[in-house]
Amino acid sequence: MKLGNTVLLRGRSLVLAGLMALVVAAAPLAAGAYFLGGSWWYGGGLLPLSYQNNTGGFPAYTNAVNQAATNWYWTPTPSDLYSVGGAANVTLSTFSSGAGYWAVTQIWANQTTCVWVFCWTNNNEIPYGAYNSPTGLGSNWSNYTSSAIAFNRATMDSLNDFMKLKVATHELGHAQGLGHAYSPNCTSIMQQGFLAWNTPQPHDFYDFDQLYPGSWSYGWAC
Amino acid sequence: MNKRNGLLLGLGSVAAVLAIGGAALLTGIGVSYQSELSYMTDGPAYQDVQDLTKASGAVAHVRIISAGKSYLVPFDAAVTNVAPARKDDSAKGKLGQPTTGTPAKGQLQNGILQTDYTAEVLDNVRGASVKKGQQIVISQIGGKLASPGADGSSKEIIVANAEHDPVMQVGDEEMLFLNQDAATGKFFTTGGGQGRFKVQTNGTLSAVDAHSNLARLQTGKQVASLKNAVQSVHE
Repeated sequence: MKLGNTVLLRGRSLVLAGLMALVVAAAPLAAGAYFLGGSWWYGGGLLPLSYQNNTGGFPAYTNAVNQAATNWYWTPTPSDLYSVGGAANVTLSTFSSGAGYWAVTQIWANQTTCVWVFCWTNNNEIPYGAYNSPTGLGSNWSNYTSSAIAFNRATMDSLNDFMKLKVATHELGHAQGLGHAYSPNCTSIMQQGFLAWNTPQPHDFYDFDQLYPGSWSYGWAC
Repeated sequence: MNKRNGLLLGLGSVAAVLAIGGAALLTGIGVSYQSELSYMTDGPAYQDVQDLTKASGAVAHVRIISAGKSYLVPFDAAVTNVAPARKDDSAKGKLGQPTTGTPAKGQLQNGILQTDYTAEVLDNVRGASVKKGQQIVISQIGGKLASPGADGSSKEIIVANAEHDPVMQVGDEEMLFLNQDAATGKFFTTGGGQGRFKVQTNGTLSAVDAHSNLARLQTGKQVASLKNAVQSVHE
């Protein structure tokens, strides 16, 4: 009987240990992180990216952009978007289209293509990947070289300042390499649409840290 | 012709093809470079058919019959604003080196690519602005742009798709949730890809934006079911 109990206890311990191991092993699979594929060059420390804010004709957009850059700076991430008057890593403009979108972001990188021994490099926009890994873009692509954000006044003029700031912060998240957070229960600035928050959230810190590692933040996947 | 001559002729032909191809690649003459790109977007997210219908002026079952030439919607004239330098005495403020940037491709740095499609209305499901049998113009962000390369002899082709809203295909049937631009009379789909459902040959729907809530609700259902759902929405 005693032997039987011991075996039973050992069996239960093994099952428990197995279950715990399964939970630990499955955790990264359950976690969601969202990237466009590729990233800016990052050597540790800060990630200083200059931005040229060309929305000066429309003060509500100008303020939203500057505040969004500040929002990203005051996060536990290496993000350091700073304003310049000349050529920049990220340019921000306005346009008008009846299309239902509030804003559009494009990112470029150099792409080397080889046919047999003939190779050439073009400065191309990165194709959208929605990767779960920061390295999803592929080996023939360089780090990002530039990004352009355009706000659609036809659809954004009617948004209040809170939402204008949400859109600007979201797009600057794209410009730094973050993709959309699809899970409806994920609290992230990278969710599309109207949100109750307009600043980067702990999940965004987590994704940022995956992309530009440095143990800056203690956010979480979702 | 003996075997030896045949072999020589074959090798000669291969060499000629490689030489011409190599010369074309090196000089750029007759070479087309195609880039495929995506516009990452933000916009309203619709939760269900009622939400989407209420945000749309019209809903129609259409067939895309032609695609126009893509064009650039230009950015507004740049008025550059420079924010004051940020002051930060914390540890973060003392780190880092600037990241250098390379200017992006010319044309797409100045505007957003857009394309107009002509569609025949097969069924007017809701809204007075479209009628069965009518041809309407639908504008969509994205398209195809060909331009001479930097060397003047090669050709650069750029194919742009908005994220979750790939360019429409001639011949496709789609259920579209639409809004009309009062100034131009052109229609746009509500929420980009969220307002598009491809109608398969067996009458089932395939949501164009596979990540949307609407996709989870509608993909695989019969088109008649969506039409009924739209018509039962009350203002």
